[in-house]
Amino acid sequence: SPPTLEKTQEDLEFEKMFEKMSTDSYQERLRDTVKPSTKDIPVPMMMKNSKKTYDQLQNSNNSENESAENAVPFVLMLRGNKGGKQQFKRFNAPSDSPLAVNLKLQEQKIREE
Amino acid sequence: EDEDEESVMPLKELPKHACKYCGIHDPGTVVMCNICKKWFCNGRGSTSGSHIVNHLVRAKHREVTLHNEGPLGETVLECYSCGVRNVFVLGFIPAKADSVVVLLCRQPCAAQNSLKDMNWDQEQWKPLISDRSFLTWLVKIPTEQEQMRARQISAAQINKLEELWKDNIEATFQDLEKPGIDAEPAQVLLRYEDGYQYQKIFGPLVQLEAEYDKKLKESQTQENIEVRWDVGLNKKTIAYFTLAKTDGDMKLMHGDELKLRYVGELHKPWNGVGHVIKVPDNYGEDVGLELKVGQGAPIECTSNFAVDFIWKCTSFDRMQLALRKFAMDDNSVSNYIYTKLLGHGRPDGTDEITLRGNLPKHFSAPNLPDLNRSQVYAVKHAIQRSLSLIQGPPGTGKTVTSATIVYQLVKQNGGTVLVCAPSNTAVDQLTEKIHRTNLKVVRVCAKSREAIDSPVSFLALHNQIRNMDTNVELKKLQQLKDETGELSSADEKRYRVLKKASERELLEAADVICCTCVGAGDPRLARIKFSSILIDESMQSTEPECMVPVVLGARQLILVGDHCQLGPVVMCKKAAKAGLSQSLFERLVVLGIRPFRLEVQYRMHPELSEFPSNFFYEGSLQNGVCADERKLKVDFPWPQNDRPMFFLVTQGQEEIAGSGTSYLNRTEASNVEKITTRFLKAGVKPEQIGIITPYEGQRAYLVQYMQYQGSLHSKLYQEIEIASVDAFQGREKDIIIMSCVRSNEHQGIGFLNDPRRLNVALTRAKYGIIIVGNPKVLSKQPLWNHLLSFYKERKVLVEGSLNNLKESLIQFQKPKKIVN
Ligand SMILES: [Zn+2]
Ligand SMILES: [Zn+2]
Ligand SMILES: [Zn+2]
Repeated sequence: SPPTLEKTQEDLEFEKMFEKMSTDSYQERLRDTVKPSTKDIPVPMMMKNSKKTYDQLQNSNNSENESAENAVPFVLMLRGNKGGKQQFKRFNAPSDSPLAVNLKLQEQKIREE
Repeated sequence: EDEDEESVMPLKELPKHACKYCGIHDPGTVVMCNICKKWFCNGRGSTSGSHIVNHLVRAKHREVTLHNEGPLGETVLECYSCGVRNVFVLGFIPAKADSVVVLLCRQPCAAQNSLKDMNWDQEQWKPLISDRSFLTWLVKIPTEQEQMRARQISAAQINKLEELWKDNIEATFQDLEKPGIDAEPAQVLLRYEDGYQYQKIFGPLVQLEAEYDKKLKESQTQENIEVRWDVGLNKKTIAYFTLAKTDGDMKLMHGDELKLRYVGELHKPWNGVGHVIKVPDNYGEDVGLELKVGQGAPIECTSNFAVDFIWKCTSFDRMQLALRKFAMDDNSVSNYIYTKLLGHGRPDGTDEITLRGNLPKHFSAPNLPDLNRSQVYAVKHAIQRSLSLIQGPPGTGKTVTSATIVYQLVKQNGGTVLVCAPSNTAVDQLTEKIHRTNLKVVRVCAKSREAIDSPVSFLALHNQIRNMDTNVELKKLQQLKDETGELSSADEKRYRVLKKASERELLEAADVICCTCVGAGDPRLARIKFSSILIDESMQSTEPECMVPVVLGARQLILVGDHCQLGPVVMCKKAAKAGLSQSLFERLVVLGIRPFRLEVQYRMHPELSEFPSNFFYEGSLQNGVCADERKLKVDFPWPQNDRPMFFLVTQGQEEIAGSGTSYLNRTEASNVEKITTRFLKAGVKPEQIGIITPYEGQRAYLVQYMQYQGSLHSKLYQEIEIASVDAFQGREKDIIIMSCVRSNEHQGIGFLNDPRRLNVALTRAKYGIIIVGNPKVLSKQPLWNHLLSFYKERKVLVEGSLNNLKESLIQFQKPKKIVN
């Protein structure tokens, strides 16, 4: 792995700018009186039907795609373009990512119940 | 007509979606900024945030789109609920115990209370940017390999670039440190950050050299030329004429392109282009120019012609292309070689992956001489490593060793080996040796040199094509073309298609392809895979020249050379001063990569090899020949019977030669003539003798003087080669006579200073060497002082006439401290 380089003046400056950008953006949203939609965001049925457990997901994934051995398949739901239909995009999250870890925990909980 | 094949293959520029900072362009790893439409990668290089985040923060841009070939396809990142696109407030929420994910802004969409009642796990909201880079399931992080091969850009440079974009959105990394117009070029370095920095430093130097060459060529127009017309065996028109002498750097070479113009009034204005097929030599000063077909030369006119030199940018373009390819194309060389050439990694090579494959039982090749111990080690060393330097001091069998390495590489790996050297002569020599081992060898020549004969002409691609029996149609068209000189345009088209296919077939079937370094940039070689590349005489090529073959995919690279002999010729002083005249071989040696040295010399009489061995090779040269095998069996008054060498003290005055830019020394010339005549009378053949002199003025004077003042038939003297040290590099003669010329107190002339040049001069002779010069002046140079002391100690520093040579008692001057 690349050696841990000493942060330069510019790096530190950049990190400060990043923090400022993030807080400013958040503050802006707080100030703006954007009304949140209270409509439900339905989890698509087609997804529910083909719902698999974490272990199943991992197993099926392994047989389908060896290259993503440590990946868990997910679906990202997107607003459709210009009022069009919503879109579903498949992607793999690393099995050690918070996303995948959380899914595993949730399923364990359900099973325990 | 031949332009397409003289040209340079265009290099694919980086795609539009390449990271504007570092050049990485794997679609899965890049993101487009929606505001300025520039792409950046999700790698952080050496900075503390990924490139895309660096850009967004510094440019205050906040919206992005993923690449359509990336993991999620073309996707604008936005809040599912409200549609906001500020990535600094965007995050994602997974469905409860489900593998569905949705993007929501932190405020207000992810924070609204009603979300709790739905199917979404509100507490799991996570931002899309974490640790100052995008989540990897959205945008991949480039691999370590990719990042290693990318431009290494610092946070400071990113900052500067972003500043530039505020004025000019088209600005590139190259604009960052653009020097002023008159600024000195940047010096070459020992180590480079990355291929981009390497290119950034060498590119301008190649450019300087190209401009110098162009100016030089374009300033050489000569008028009032008389022409003698002739027709060659190939039915092409040949013009013979004489050019006025120039003492400058300009040297006419076989294959050079000249334009002949008629400027008189007996014919309408005419001009035609041709290739030089004869250059001035001892036999005659005339130049032969073979005109291209169909130019309708006014052969009834013989005077009022002008000659222009045509500048060709091909070789410079190929070097520039190689530099760009080295920086941008991951497949140009293996990662290991990339790292090494940039000067990183461990110089002792312990970080190297040893190459697979069984070692052969015998390290020799069919029909080549058996190898000595150091040669065997060199072969073993080279075939097992991905990068090796083989140092071949004079006469140590460098060519045989190289040919054996090539043979073993083919036997071991089976692929095509690319063999290069900077000069055509060196390539031909090696080609001949490799051919002897029965490997399938193809010699690729520049189009402009196809007419020039060489000992390996039959191996040249263009000749092998002619002798191919498999393609009857091509053969017929070739015959027709040879007979009539021209084909109809339809036939010509067909002819070219067939020829190209046959060329391809021959090249792909070859075990070994040989060409000059610059010739390796020939588009015909572009699609061939080379497993191993060997470059001979590599110390004589500039780094960019060396890179032309190297970037053809080097996985295994063998540089053969000797950094103690002459380096590359760089004409532009500015470029030379900035370091373009240092070879890659030399830089790698300075970096601490130990060259493998061949140690037994088979050329020189042991007495002749002693000084070079001690002075240039730490005394490591052993003699593979004994004094008896190198004893001239002719009567010659050597001052010491068992030492075929002496320094003849000559105190004549030097003068400026007729051209005004060179020097000559009449007393030395007269002594050289006397020595030469003595050898000839004793039965030595003219071709056994070589006369070395550093100045063109003295060379021209010697040629004239010997022919008119020499007591023997002028023809005998004509056959003696008289040239500069540089022209003798890589070759040998039985007897060398050297005329030093300079005799005044103000020197500083390269010839006398450069130890490598002296090394070459002293190591050309097999049987005997005689130096004619003025010790008073020469002894001021520390190097020459050593040499003179060596001759004095051995009682071979002499003066007087040849019949009565006596030890000289001349006092040396104290050498100046500073060398170079
Ligand atoms: Zn932008
Ligand atoms: Zn980047
Ligand atoms: Zn929102």
